[in-house]
Amino acid sequence: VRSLKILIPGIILLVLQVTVLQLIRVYHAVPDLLIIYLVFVALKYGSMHAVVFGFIIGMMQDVYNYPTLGATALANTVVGFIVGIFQEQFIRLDIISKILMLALAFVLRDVIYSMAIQLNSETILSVLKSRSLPHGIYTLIVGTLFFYINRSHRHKNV
Amino acid sequence: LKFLYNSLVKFLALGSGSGALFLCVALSIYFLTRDLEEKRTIFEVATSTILLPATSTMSWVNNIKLLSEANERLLRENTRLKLLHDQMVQQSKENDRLREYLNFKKEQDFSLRLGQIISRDPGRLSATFMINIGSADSIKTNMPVVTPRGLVGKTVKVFQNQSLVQILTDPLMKVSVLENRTRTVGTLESVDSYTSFVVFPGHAEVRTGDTIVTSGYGGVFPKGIMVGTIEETRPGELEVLKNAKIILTQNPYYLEEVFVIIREAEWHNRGGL
Repeated sequence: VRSLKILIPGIILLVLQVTVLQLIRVYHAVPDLLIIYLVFVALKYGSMHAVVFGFIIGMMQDVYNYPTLGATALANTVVGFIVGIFQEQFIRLDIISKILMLALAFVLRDVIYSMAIQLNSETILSVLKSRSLPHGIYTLIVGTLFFYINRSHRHKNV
Repeated sequence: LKFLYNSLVKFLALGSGSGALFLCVALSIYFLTRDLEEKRTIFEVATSTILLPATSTMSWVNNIKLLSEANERLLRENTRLKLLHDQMVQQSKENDRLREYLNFKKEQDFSLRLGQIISRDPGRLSATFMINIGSADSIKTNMPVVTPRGLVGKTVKVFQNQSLVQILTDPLMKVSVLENRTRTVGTLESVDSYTSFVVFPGHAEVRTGDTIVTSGYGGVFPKGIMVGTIEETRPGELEVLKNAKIILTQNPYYLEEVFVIIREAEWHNRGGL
């Protein structure tokens, strides 16, 4: 049940990511909802759930770009595992730490992905500068909002 | 199955997710190292089975987006074409009118100046309009204003580049006219700025359908300019008079261009009446 509870919003976000989000494109940059959600899952449910969720969602993303099949899955798996170490059940994280975690996850995911598709170090740096930076900034803005709303919601429930 | 599932969960949970990490990394590397043909097969199988609902949803949303864009583009194009069409219709009408005016000008002995109406008296009893030619174009006061269809009025005030024209339906205007068949002279008048009538002597044998032209009396309008046709006749308030309701051949309210006949009033040359 918990797996479905994690997976279904992820699939909805994946659909939103490739459809509706293209409408709020700013200078070719769109926020990456899936990495935000992966960080959220990792922090809330821990490494195991984040790894499995990251892998499944990554495979779904890869299927639509089949020449690099497995690359996003691998990147998400590793990111999910690393962020999951900081599961909130054991460590209390403030909103700034979560945003920093999101930034780290975003960069790490892009670096692992680029390495998995065998880009050379020069190209990886260029990709990080031209693609990851604008997407990352937009994702951090949306991520900040998400974590802020999530915190307010949690406080209300408490 | 239950045993297999429990074993898998136990393995995944090993070492705080290390088992899951190991398994998922291994699977990822397995897929990464397949050749392109195998990856394509996986793609085709996945999109036609487990990912079909997601693919259909994406395609549906994308179609809506495409339709919305196409609709916006077509609306813009439609508006542009409509404006273009309206402009062309106007130009075509103007072309026809000007061709008619050109022929009229060729047929006349008078010197004519073509003027465009640039403003109208906005009042309810609209009786004047302004044209874009004035003293700089040899226009003077009391010059007849006509179209190929007939008389419109006369100039009453002239500026350097504009002139004010008083139209036939102005209640303050009276024009001496002639019934073409019986040659009876009458006076063209209007009381409400819309209907025109001619006051004839009571013995006049005018009837519906007779045509009215200018008589040339008064010295402003040359003789024989078409004014209108009689729609109906009735006895006047005084027994000695007969009223004939007139349909003007040129409705002064449906005009865009007019001719001014360059001809000074006869009494003007003689130093006034």
